[in-house]
Amino acid sequence: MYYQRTQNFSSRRQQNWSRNQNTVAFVSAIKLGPVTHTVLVALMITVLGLIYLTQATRATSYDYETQKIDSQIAELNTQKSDLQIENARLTALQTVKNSSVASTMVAPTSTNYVAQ
Amino acid sequence: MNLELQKGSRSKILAAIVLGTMAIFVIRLFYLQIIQHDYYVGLAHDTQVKRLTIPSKRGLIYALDGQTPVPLVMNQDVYTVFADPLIVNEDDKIIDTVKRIAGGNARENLQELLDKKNSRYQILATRVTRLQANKIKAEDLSGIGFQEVSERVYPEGSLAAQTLGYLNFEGIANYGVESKLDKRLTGVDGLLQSVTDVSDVPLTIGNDNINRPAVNGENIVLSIDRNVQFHVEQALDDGLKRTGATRGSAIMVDPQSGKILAMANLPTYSPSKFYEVKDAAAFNNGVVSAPYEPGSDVKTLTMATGIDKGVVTANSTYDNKDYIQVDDRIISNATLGQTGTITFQHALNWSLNTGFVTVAQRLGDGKSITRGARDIMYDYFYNKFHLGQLTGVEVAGEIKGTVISPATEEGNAVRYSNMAFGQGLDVTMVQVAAAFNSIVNGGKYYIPTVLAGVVDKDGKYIPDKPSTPTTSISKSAADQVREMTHVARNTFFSSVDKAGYYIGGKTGTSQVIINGNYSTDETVGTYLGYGGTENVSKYVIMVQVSGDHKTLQGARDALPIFTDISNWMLDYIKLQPKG
Amino acid sequence: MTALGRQKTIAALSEEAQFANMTTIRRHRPDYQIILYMGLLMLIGLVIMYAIGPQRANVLNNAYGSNYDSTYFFVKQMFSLGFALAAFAALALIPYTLITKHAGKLIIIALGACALLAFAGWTHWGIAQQSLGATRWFNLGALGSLQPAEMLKFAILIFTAGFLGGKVRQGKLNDKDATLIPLAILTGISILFIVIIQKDLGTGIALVSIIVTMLVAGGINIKNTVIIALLAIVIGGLVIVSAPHRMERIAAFLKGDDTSVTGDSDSYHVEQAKLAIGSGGLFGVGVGNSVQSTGYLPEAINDSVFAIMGETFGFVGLVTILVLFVALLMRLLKLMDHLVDVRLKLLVAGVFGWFGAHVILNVASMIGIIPLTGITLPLLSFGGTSMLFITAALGLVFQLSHYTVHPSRLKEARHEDFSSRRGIGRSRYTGRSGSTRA
Repeated sequence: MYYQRTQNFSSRRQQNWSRNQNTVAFVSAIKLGPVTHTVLVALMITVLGLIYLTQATRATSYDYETQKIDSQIAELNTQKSDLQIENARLTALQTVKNSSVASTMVAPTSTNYVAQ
Repeated sequence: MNLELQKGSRSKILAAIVLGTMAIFVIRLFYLQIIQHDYYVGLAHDTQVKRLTIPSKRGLIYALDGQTPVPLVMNQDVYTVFADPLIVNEDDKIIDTVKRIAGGNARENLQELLDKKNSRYQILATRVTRLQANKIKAEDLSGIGFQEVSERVYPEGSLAAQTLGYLNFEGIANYGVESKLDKRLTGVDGLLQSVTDVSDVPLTIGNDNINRPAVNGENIVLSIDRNVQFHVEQALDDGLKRTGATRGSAIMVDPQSGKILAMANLPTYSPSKFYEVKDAAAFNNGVVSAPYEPGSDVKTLTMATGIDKGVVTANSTYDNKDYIQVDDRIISNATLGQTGTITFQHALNWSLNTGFVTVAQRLGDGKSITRGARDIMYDYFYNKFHLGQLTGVEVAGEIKGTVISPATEEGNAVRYSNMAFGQGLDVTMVQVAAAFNSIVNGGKYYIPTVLAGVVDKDGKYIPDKPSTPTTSISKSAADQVREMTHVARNTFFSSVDKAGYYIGGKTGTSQVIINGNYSTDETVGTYLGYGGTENVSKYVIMVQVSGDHKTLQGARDALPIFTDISNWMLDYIKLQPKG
Repeated sequence: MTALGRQKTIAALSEEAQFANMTTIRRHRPDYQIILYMGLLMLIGLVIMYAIGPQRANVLNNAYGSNYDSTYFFVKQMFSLGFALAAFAALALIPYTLITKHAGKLIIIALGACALLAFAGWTHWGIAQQSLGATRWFNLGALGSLQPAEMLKFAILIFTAGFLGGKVRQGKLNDKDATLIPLAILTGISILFIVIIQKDLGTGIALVSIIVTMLVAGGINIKNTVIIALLAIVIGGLVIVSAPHRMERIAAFLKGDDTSVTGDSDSYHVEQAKLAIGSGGLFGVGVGNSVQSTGYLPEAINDSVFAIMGETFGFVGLVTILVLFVALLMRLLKLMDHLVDVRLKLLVAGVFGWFGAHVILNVASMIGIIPLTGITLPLLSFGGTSMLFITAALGLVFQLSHYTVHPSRLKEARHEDFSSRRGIGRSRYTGRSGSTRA
């Protein structure tokens, strides 16, 4: 059975360590050069920056929706008031008096009351 | 950074050029951004921040139909069509479109207006409705613009025109409730001040944005009942045609609350076309603005004073000689021949002036109208019945009239003897109706009011709290006078009323003072009455008819109008008759 | 050693040795600062594009009824960045000799593309996109748009570098017949296409400045400089006078006071730009709070992006951006001085001229020092083609930075063989002069 090395370690025995210190440190098997390091750090900063950006500028997109909804509300309000005026005109006394329903009515000749 | 540029190479020149230019840029930027910063911020504020007033809507005015408010005055947005003659290039098409769609609202001389090339603003048509404006907009003519204006509309036409009043072209309220309650009806404009983009869309950027919504005016509900008002105007109109009078006024008050149920004047006008009125007298609300000598109607008040003071009763008697002397004046009756010992009831039935001068005398020492009598009469007329004072009814133009105090030199016995039968004092119809109200309901004086409540912005009707009355005379005195007027009416006019109800009233024929003297060919006819059951009176109606050089009488001319209204009213309130 | 002596020394090198510098000069670590500055500038451009993209989309939607999404411009800018970086990488990895060898063919392709565009515009063929009265773009549908004028600039850059480099080596730079007249003919043809047919004065000025920078770096004498300057003024004057909108711009520039903002529509653009810059103050209004970009400032995302950055980042931000540009330009100058081959030197000088002309002309017109020219700011503006070719040129320069030589070599040219560092630098006891002490 051959025991395979599963992790890499580096020894720092050359440096002066006092007692009870770990002199063996984990070394990653994947080594990146300085350029890759720089690029990765730059990318991380970019991503953080983008996150900040998206959060900070969220509010400005609502302006145009607000405007649309406001103009819709105004439109509906004017329609409502127009309808109210129409309604008042149609139920006005003169209109009712001259309407076809009223012309078929006759005035009562006598009214009687039932004693309560 | 260490550039190591070579000596003798041109790169130093290039470097110098670039660095020099950049230095100039930095200096210039410093100038623009630091030194001129405030100036540019101000400039940015001017161009970017738009200030927009949000107009408030004027309150609506409602009347009552039973207990539901119905609108009498509403707001409508109409448009003014204007043109910029400099930009306009399709004159004929524009004129044709405007005339065709706007019709009568278009101005006459459109071509002339469009030819005025150096003015930038010419109005082509006013009061164009939204549909018409949309049609004109659809034609897509260049140089045409629309301006939105709010105007009052009157769905009920000319109903209660004088009570409502109108708004003139500048938006100032004239006459009626519109003028008197202007402060309550006008709202507060709102303000929208915000950083906007190029097309005036408000942005959320900026810390100073203000968005204050407009506060609309109060929606007022009048106590006027639409149906009653309609019928009263109709009856008045019929009466004027019948009698040949040219002016008429009527008022109906609810005795149990002082609320005015109808207030009509003829001639009337249509408030939406106020500019077509030729005679400004049509605007006047005669009920509150035309003081006159009330005549025999006031005899009821004199009687009430006497009974309340205990110096007379309905059946007390006096000796009627058809004339009576007060100081150096002779006062005679209008109707002669009822001489002898008669009751005051009789005097009321026949409307004999001598009887009421006698009441005034009896308030004093029985022979003359002493200072004490005058003080009593003034106290009752002015303080208790509130004659000669503004009632505070909520229409504009109320005139307070004149009741002369006995403390002045003019308040002598002669004048007070005249006042006893309704001359020598100036009062308005609403004052007389309110005073008579207190007699009919048992002695409680309610301040007459046209208001019943408000409609809040959710459309709910909120009635006003009922007002508390003051006491004018004792209940027994009031009831006695009420009974006397009932008998007075029944003596001559019982057949015209519906059976089973308790109706009463007093006629009045007043002389008119023209140029300081009493005219001989003009009189004003009035009738002041009430109706209801024996226990409760439901309404008080006062009718007045007059005309230049016309002698109109209370019984002949004003009373039929009263009867018309009264009989109709009994059916309207569905009052159950007795038996 | 005099300049003439140095020239002779280089000339003494064999053609092979001069041409195949790649083998004779030791390839070393490139100048990463170029990537750093370029990357920072691109990032700033991306941030601004994110902030004002939605506003621009709204302005276009309201004005033309188009249906741009609010992230459309940001995404498009990212794609342009991607293509530009790919071009950068391509030109940094492909051996530059491949490109310099085929410079002539490149010119012909570019001129052909311009001619094709002119023809397409004249016959109203669909592939040409007409805007603002001139045909400047190829409309490639899904791939976006392509501006052949930029391609022409790139081709002229490489071709002229080779041409003039050869002339410098022969010592005939100032010779009228051999150098200046052919150059003038080439310039004339390009100007004809760009300025007269496509009506793009800004690009024309950039092209002329590339060539002039190369001449200056190559060592042109004062007399010729004056002649060239006079010629430029005359032709420039003719061109300006012949086009009314350019006259209006000059008139607006001369009329307006420095800081006044009138309501005149001609000077509207510059006034709004100054307003944007001025209202930025020291630190700006913050990302996303720019109001001028909502429609007040025309061309907010491409030509006037400097003004928007002034408003967003303030004085501090603008100075930072200018410092980044200057740093990039200085690295180019350093590179130019440390190259051996004159043709490569002139190439780098040409890129310097291209970059510098764009930056100087754009910034100067935004702050009101010169009239508007319609030239974009490199790496920051929204525009795929311009960014593509500038980064391609920078990629080429990046590749050249692998082959610089220590300055002492250039001074004395003691050794023909540049593949070692023998004698360069110091040892502990000898100092800069190295082994001469011995």
